[in-house]
Amino acid sequence: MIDDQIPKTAINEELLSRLKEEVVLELADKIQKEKKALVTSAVPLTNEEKESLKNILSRQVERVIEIENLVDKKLLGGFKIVLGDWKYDASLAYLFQSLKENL
Amino acid sequence: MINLDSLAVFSDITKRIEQFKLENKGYLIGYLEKVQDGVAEITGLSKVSNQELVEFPQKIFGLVFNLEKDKVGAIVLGDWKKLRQGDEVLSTSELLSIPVGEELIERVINPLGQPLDGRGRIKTKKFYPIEKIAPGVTLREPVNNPVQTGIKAIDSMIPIGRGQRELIIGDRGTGKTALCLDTIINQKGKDLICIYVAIGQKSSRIARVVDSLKKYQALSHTVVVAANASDPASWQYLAPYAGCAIGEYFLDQGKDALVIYDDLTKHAWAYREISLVLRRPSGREAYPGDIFYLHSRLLERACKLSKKYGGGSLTALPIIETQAGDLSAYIPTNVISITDGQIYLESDLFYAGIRPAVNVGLSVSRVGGAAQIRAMKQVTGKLRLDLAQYRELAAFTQFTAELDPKTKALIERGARMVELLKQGQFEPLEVEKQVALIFAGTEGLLDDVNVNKMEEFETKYLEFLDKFYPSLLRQISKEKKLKTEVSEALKRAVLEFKEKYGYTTVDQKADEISG
Repeated sequence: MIDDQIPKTAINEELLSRLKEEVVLELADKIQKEKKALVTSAVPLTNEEKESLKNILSRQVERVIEIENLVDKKLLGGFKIVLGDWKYDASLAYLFQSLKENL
Repeated sequence: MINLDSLAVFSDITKRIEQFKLENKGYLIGYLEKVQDGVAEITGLSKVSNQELVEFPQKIFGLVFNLEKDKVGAIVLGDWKKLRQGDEVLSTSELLSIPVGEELIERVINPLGQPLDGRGRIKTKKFYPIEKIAPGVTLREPVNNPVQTGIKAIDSMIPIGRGQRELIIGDRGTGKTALCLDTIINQKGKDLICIYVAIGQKSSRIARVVDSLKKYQALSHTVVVAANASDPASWQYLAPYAGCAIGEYFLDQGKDALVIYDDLTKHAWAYREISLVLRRPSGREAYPGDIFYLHSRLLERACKLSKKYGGGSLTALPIIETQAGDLSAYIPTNVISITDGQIYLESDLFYAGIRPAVNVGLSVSRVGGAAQIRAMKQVTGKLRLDLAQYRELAAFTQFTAELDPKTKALIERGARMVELLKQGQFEPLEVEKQVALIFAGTEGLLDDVNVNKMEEFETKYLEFLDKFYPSLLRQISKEKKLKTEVSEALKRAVLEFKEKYGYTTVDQKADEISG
């Protein structure tokens, strides 16, 4: 039942465009060595999605970044990226959590 | 009862949800390696800076204290028992700051600015950083305005100026806190905002302090910052800086504020605890190397700003508890050298019934003299010397029966002055009344009053002045100095009073005993 209501794709255009604005490079010292970005999503990423994420991240760090996908239903929707010391959370669970803290 | 319209609540919540906009933001993160006694060790968190605020799960915050290779030490500001190994830690790129403002007055808060008095949220508008560099030399001016403590012994001989740092030091149970409370109570209806910082004290004691402030209507100009003995060491460490930040807000508004740190001994203990857990090298008495800096950077923030910068002031009254009167222990000597003078309270004096138990010989105020009002200066010129001589002679003559008249007169005068300076708790006196009393003493007008009757004399004489010579008192408080005609009138008033109420002759019997 609930599974039906969870969107089948993890990423939409809006989330991607926001990610593009994020400046990773500034913080890149420690991230330099990392070649692999861990992307957790509520539903498995499609190859297309992986590719677009890879492009965005690689451009930001000016280096080729591999994408490894983990699936965690607790995120409810969206995705989160961990690249070395850097974390970017665009999941629904995070949205709800922030909403709860701010109300 | 509040009548809640469920529909209104519902629409309000909907509105808030609609207005809420999440900013997806990248964070630098680290992972919790271990927590021990409120100190967390974190790996990762590259680029984190010292004194930065970091966020643990469940809205628990931490303060970065140690930067080492590949790991970060942070003190946890909250319940560290809730943390788990491997928890994500976010860097916030913010310094720890607390809410400040007029809204805090009359409230009891913890060092993070959260209310402890159960009177609901405090709606402040401004935040001030807990650590701040003290104003520089060019912004300051010398103290020139007194803090009237309402305590005769202090206002007359160890005057405190606005912007001064005066240490109150003594053994446990010698009336250190009482002295500060009297000072707060004496500010009733005046323009000095008081901040009482309780560090590592029993909750029951803090409740009693708040109660007495309430009872004497002194809470309406007071903020109480409390880190109880049961609170984590990190809170006890932060409390004085939080109190100071609140004071700085009023300072920046051009107002006068007074912060009481009760007491810095326990603050040093809390810092020692944190430092030992962080494995910092320990020095004398196991205190870390920067224990001096801990207190100097706090007390340096007390200042008197010059007119150009608003003219506000922040006075600091740190309290230090000594063990068995040992002034030369580590923390007492440190703080004595930082402050602009000290008030030394002695248990011997306290138990001998001389209260406040101020040891006049060892107490000084290095800058307060400039702030004392003229009238007080005029009458107290000889007071210190008289008392010092009295102490010396009294010790000597305990074994001698025969005394030359001059020595005897000195002792008689001294005994009366000691009696005159006694004062009960919660009985602060206005400065003009202090002047009138001390004037009578130093002019020798009380030499023929029985020593045992001094207390009675004092109350009745003040009543008498209030009743028959209120204009005289008003004149002193207005002109702030004693003109010749005023002192003549005061002299006449004392003589008239003595005549009227029969204090003129010394009781023959008492005279023999004391002689």
